[in-house]
Amino acid sequence: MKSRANEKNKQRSLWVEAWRRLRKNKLAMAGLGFVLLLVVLAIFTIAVDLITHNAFYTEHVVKQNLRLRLQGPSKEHIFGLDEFGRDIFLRVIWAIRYSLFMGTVAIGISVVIGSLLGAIAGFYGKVVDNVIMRIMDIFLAIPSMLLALAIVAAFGTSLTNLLLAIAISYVPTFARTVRASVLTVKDQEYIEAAKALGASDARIIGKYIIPNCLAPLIVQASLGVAGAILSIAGLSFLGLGIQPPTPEWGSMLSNARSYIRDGWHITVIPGLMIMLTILSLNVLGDGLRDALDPRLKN
Amino acid sequence: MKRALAILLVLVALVPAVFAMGGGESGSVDESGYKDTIAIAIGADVTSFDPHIGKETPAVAVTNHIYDTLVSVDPVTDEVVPQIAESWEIVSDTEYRFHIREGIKFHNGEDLTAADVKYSLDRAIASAAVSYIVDFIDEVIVEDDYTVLVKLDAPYAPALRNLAVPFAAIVPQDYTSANEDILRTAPVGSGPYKFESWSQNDSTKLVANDEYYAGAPQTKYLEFRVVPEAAQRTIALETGEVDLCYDPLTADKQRIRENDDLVLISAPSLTCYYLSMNMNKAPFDNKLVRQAVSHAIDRQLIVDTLYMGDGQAADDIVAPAVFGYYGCGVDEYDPELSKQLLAEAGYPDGFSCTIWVNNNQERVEVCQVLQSMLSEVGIDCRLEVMEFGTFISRTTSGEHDMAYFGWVTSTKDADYSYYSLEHSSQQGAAGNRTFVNDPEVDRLVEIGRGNADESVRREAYKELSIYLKDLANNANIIYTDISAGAGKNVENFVLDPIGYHELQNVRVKGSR
Repeated sequence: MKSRANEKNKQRSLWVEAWRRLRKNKLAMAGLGFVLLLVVLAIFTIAVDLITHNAFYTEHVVKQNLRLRLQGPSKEHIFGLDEFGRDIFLRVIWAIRYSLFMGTVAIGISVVIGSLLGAIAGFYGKVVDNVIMRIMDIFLAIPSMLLALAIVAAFGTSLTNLLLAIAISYVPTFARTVRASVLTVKDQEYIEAAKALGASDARIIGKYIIPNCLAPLIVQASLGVAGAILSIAGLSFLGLGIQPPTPEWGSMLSNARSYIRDGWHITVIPGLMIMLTILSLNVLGDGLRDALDPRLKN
Repeated sequence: MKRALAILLVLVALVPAVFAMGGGESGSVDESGYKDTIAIAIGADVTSFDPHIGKETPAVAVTNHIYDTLVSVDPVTDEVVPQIAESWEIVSDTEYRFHIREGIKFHNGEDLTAADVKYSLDRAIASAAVSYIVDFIDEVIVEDDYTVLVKLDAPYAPALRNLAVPFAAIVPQDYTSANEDILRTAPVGSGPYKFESWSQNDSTKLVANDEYYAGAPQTKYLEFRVVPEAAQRTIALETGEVDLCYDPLTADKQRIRENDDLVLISAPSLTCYYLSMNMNKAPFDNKLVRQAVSHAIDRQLIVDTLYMGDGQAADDIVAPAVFGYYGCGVDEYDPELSKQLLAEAGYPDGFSCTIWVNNNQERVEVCQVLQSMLSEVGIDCRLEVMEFGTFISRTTSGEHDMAYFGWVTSTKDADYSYYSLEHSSQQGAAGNRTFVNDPEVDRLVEIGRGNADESVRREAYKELSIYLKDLANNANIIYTDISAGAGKNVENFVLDPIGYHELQNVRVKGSR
């Protein structure tokens, strides 16, 4: 009993240790802070929509006021009004959920599929490995943006298709990451021990291998979310993502571009939001890598 | 340290790019003080140099310099004037005799004769893309080397104007019949400019035809540069990279007007933008619903804001400058009436539907406004933006609820639009995408089409206009202006209301 409790303590302390290291990294903490702020704002807007039954949304986020279009920032509208006279601040805030949550969900899906495929490939090796990884290679050979574009173009523009398109295009990255760590883990003595005790393959993969591959996966995923958000914005910019009048950073940017010389604010603000979000996620990802695997530093 | 180095490298790499953007004055100046090249920024590339295929306005704005037609319409006086045909006589309601100018040579040296005219018109009739402009012709008969007789199926009043449309171009028979596809990439015509080179999605160069029957063009070279982003076209004009820019953005027009080095040439166009409702689909099979949609739209607000006052709220589907325009009055903006009509039609709480539009930013913006206006009366529209090819093929097969279109009356005669957009025989590809099939509409369209008497035609179009206003199959939104920006040093540029600007008389002074 005692030794087990000890073990648990030690296990936890590994994560605690990582958190301690991460906290020292000011840049990564700033990134984390910004991402958390976005999450809070997104949850807040969703709550507002639920409580008011979309009344606030229809009245203030999508309702147009053409006579006031392109008005610059003022006291009532701190980020100004867009090309249809809508408040940019509210639209930017309401758009967070699409970018952030869709990016997370898309990466979530690809992490699950990718790590399963990667683990199976790495664990069984030989033919299985070859078949899975060659298929992944084929996917990797196609630029992810192009693949997502093709999927959306073929199956139509909808939120689900957009999600799937991005999820599929990120699967190979995770499969590769996980396979590589599985290869280093699978010859360790504790795996041999589990085998000797008669544990099933599924148990070994699920209980011993995947948890030991988590660190690189977390790092990859946090960077992946940044990439996915950029892909969503990019597809929306091209008109293949979220359809108007739903606010989304990429489509806001795209719609604003012909007014760039008449109202700088309508292009700059959604652009800045995309940039800050990606930057935050990237510095956070870098920080996590340094924190989880100190050996990688230098 | 490494990072700093990387940033430095990027900056160094950017320097030449910045400089390259600045300069770029086009063409060299000859001894007379005029440039030998006019550079024009256009919004889209030529789809096909074959005049019987490439009929989109940006394509024709280039190819109409290469090809001529039998007759032409003067953009200023609006009269039908001779071109390849030196003169013509109207033998009867259904027979036109054309006397072809002797001595015209195609760019490859072949003589232009009656045989070429017959071949070209027959070829245009056979072409799926442009047939509708010449399908009033029953037969073209070669009477001698320089005389042709055009026989019609039935009297057709706008015949001469149709023959002046650039898609009725005359092409060399021997050259073209040897290889039907050759005109697509190596066009030969008899127009003021010869084809020199084309680099896809980049530019087209034309060189003056010194043997042109009406005299050599004023400027030796034309260079059409494809600049799809409208804001970029204006910037290219401002930096002096181009001398002319077609179709500047609404927001940029003011900027051009205010620039002392530039002029904005603008005029009412022959284009109407309209929202087509698919009458084969519920609830748009109900006239009250269609009227409700039309009354929910504040057209003047769209003109005043999105178009910044350039343009006019639309009533008829043909623009005021078109022969046969009556002007039945713009449907007034009245959301209350609209709601009432919806309730009468059995939709007191409105309904849901989709609006389709192709991915042209200006059109998408108008549709976003329409979407917002319709939601005010309870019609919940989803906007679907699609690529132009998909948009056209899917609306042709009638899959849409509502779709947003623009239409140019290229002949300046109402028949061109009414026949294509409203006649029951023209459903789908030809243009009738409301799928209206109404004997009264057909009857009035046919009167307008088959009568030579102008007053009879006007009367028919007046009745038609009033009838269609009530039918409300299309909600007509706006007549846009057509415009082009030019440097102060550009001389003799005449705006064509359709967008087929002709440049053979244009000269550009060496400096602004």
